[in-house]
Amino acid sequence: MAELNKLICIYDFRPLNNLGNYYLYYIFGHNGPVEEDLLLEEFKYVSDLDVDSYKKFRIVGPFPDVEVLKNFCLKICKSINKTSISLVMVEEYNSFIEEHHSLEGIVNNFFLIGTSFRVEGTEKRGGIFNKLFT
Amino acid sequence: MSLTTPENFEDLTVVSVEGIFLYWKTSSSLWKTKLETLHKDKYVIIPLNWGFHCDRTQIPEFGETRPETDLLKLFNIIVELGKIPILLLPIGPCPLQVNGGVPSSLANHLLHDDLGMNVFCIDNQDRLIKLYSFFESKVYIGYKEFLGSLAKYLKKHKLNLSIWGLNSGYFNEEGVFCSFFKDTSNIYQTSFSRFLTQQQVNNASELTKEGKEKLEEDFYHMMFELYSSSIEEILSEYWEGVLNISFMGTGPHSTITRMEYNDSSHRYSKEIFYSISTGVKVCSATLSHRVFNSILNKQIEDLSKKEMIGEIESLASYEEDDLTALRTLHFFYMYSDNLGNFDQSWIDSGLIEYFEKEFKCCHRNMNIDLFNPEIVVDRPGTYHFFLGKDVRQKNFYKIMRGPMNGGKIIIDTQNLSKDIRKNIEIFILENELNVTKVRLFCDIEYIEFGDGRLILFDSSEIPKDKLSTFWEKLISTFDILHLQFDKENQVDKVWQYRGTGPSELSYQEIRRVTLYNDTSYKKKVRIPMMRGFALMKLVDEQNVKVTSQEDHIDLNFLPKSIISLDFGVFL
Repeated sequence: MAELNKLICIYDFRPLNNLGNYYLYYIFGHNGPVEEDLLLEEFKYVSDLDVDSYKKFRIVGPFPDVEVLKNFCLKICKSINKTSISLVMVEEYNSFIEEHHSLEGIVNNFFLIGTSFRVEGTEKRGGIFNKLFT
Repeated sequence: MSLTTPENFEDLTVVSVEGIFLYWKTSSSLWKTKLETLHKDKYVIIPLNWGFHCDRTQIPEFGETRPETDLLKLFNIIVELGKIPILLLPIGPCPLQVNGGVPSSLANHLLHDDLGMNVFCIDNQDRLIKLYSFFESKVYIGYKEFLGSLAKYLKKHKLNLSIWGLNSGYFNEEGVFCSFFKDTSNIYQTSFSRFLTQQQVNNASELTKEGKEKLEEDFYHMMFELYSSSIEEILSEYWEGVLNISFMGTGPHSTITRMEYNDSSHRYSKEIFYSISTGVKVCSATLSHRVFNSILNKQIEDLSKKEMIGEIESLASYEEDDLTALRTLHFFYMYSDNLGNFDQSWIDSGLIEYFEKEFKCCHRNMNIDLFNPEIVVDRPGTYHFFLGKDVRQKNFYKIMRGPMNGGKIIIDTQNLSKDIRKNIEIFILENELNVTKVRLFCDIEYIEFGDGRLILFDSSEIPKDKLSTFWEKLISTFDILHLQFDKENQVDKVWQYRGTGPSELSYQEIRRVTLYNDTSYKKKVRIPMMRGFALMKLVDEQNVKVTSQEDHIDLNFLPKSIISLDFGVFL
């Protein structure tokens, strides 16, 4: 297992209305999906929830751009003590699933795909010297 | 069965608790031993694996070269063991089988869900099952050829069995049944565009959101019908109908959790309870043996297996043959055109929410075609709800026969057509019926037919914040004798009922409530006693301390505990 402290977020662009275009589909870590209550609570500080889409598909949004989505995810990471997030668009997710033919392959590589971002202050320490001098 | 001794559920890989036999998962030389030792029931349910029979060639194999495809041998073993074979023929992707049952030569387009994501599941051996679209014309042609070969094979060997179409799916987080037949992949989009052309829709982008959704729904039904009618036509002498089955742990949320082997039995209990209200059958054949414990096992045995067998045996024999057999208690039947899910109008009107809170698992979704005016009075205190949009000329008189036979019929007249409204008025005049009008946020019309009753109102007139009060007040006028408790739903519970035996003749019926605490916490539940109910006995008490007072019963549940209580009821 690559990183136990990482979350993965699957998102996509949805031209649903004028409010915004990006929606968070799934966000989960090695222990399973992040609690929806936490997502909805944090989303209050981003925008008004698109209730129809949430009710129908359980997706959270709209986010005006990927930067806002990224910052939202980092906030979620912080509140549940995770150190990084990987943002994966549905197209990338679909190619990943198509490429793999075993569950082990998917599980072992899932947390390696997408674009990763770390929560500030949790940067990876390098070698032993870094540890000694920081 | 003990709660403390670890139990071995590993054998569930080949035979599920519901009695589903996954014949391709074991050698044909072991079929007899497995069925003899692991299968305890009368019916052996066999999901036919199209892909397995067409694994090496396009021509289906039935034992010619691979003994594991020898259906004749399998059926002979089942009959020899005194059991009855039931064949499930998947209509659409099936999460029990590699590629969802599609032969590898035809597995070209991965299925996409409503969000456009590739769909995959995890089987009971933690293996990846990718699902493929049934919207490709090559898949349909291959499927039809397979049906033809199967029909020839069954006729040649004079095999006598029933065939059910299997519509596989899962319950989403809201408890809505989602069929794996549905697709949004590119191949689906191509087929849908062709459908739009046929429907003379020239510019799809001009369609409203609702208009497009309606056409998509029509297209989905048309395609499903195409497959099911092919089975009906080619295998007519064996055909029974379609079963909607939700496979536990195959929804996207469950799959994510299962990827890390983090699944818990409690999650699946929820799916069993969804099935009691929706009428969709639920099956555990996709779950790893790791998640089973004695509570989940008992819930499947008591509830989901009974529901599935009940449907297979057909309602008539199930209900008429043995009056002392326990059946799930439903006070409210909600009819709609929807297969497997409550109509959105019931959800929007707040009625489902009200029932979930006050009468959990005592309401049931029903297909409107299954409404039978002759049996509406079989159990007193049963109410039948209809939506105005579903009352049409073809079923109007059938529905009206309900109150005439003494049944209680409630129609939400929202979207009721003017013609039908007129028909109701003529019907009232012709039969010289009295109409009592009451105002409760909207006009309610009570029409009495002796014991029968017809209630009409338009729920769209009720302010949204008054819906829950409306239902509470309306339903409080109904003649329902029910022991309501634990409204916070601390533990899962289900009510069943049966007729009385020779030693129980002082009661009208016997009701059993079974309570399951599948959590790791202690729980306390108080059952207040009321007139009309007498506690008869405790059944299957496991890790529950019971103290009974004159006016209430206290139940103290330890983690992972079960109890059933039987009450004699004076109706």
